[in-house]
Amino acid sequence: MGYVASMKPATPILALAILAGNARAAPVRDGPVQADLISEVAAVAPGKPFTVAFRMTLDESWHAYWTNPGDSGLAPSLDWTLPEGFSAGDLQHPPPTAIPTPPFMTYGHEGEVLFLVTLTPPPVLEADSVTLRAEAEWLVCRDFCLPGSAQLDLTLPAGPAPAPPHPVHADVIRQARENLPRAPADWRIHAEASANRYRLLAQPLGDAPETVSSAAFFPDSPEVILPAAPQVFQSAGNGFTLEMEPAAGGDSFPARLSGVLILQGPAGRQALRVTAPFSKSAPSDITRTERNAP
Amino acid sequence: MNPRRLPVFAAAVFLSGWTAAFADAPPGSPAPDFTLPDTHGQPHSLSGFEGRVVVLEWINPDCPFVKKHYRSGNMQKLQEQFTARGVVWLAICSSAPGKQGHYPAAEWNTLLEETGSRATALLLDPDGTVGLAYGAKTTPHLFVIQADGRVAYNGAIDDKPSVNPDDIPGARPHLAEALEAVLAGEPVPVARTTPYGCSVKY
Repeated sequence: MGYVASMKPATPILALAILAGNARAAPVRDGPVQADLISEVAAVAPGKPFTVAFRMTLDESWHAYWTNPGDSGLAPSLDWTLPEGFSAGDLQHPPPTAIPTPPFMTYGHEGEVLFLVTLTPPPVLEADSVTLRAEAEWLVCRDFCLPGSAQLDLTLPAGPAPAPPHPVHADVIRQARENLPRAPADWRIHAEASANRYRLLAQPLGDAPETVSSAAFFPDSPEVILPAAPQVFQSAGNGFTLEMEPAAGGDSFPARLSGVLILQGPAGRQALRVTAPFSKSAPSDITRTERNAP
Repeated sequence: MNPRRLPVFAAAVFLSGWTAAFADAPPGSPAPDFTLPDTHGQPHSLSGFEGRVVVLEWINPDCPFVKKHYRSGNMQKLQEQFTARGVVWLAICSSAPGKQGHYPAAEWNTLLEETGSRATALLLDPDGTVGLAYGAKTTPHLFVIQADGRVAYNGAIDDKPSVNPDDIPGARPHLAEALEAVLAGEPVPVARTTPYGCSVKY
């Protein structure tokens, strides 16, 4: 009896959460991929931007692709059909993983992958609920590739601000957001170019952060570095350098190295969003000599 | 000896091995010569086509990006249009035995007939030597070799990396533009692009 009694004064938030069901588009399976759409809010409030995640769950041994897929591949895309007055931001990719398929290197994602999108409702919402539709398209590969697609409909109730967080998905999305590449506030990073090497130099600002034991750089654009060429990490003082081989085919020399730098240290993996302008390095470049050695 | 130097040295050795295996054929450079058999057992050498414009098209018939351009008829149309103007069109399959897209010659002939390919020949490169010499990364990956044997174009068929045939009409046709320019004796407007597709199954 006590149980029933406690249900009676259910808060509006709880009621909304129940009304919202899972705040999730029914998952769609296409080949080795299960796709769905989840929302951090249990109800949409007028004018209050909120985040949804396009979630791909890949079967073992399959991978999807980052915005720059490396030597081959294609990033997923979403085509939104939204109620009047709504707008959608860009798909935010989690940090990439290097996926070697010799002689190639691709940049992508494995396992459960969340791509975040900010949706902005109009300042006035008259309907009781809204349906957010995304047509998702992707390419996944292992030793061969399969394109896939899904139509994902996410229906959420509309209600007054503040938008109530979804009891489960709010945390899932918060975690995904925390894993996104962040600004390198505690590092000074610049880039040097010599005849056949690009080099990132990173020095900690202020107190030395934890020791970095390895690093990997993923440029935003293809044809900047050769994805399959090894990147050479070296500790330098409190910081480190990372050397890469430029892409032979670049039509023009880039003005800066922009991309995601992934650091591995005792506290785990962290991803930094790097935009490092180039300065010319000294011609007596040691790596160049080594590389040209027979 | 400074132990810190060791990883760099090891990497440098590995790197030189890597670059030797996977080469590049940038625009303006002499196209690497090769001899490969076609699906009827006839050998074809690039040097045998001296004085003619040659297209090299890396192919894997099971790759969704290749299917996009064959099921839509786009590739066959380009093949027909340019071979009619004297261009030699060589499709090359570098899929290794056991990998996707590797077929015996007889099956290839059936496939070519089914797809209505208008390529001059389909060349078999199962050990990947020619693909690696050109740095062929994807299927499709296209090269245009001008009459003097230099690479005039290296890259994608067009500028819309997708598997959707609906994207073809609105795409900038990089390969066709390069061929038109070479045939007119003019500079190729964009001589290098990033090829898109499945990785070549070496």
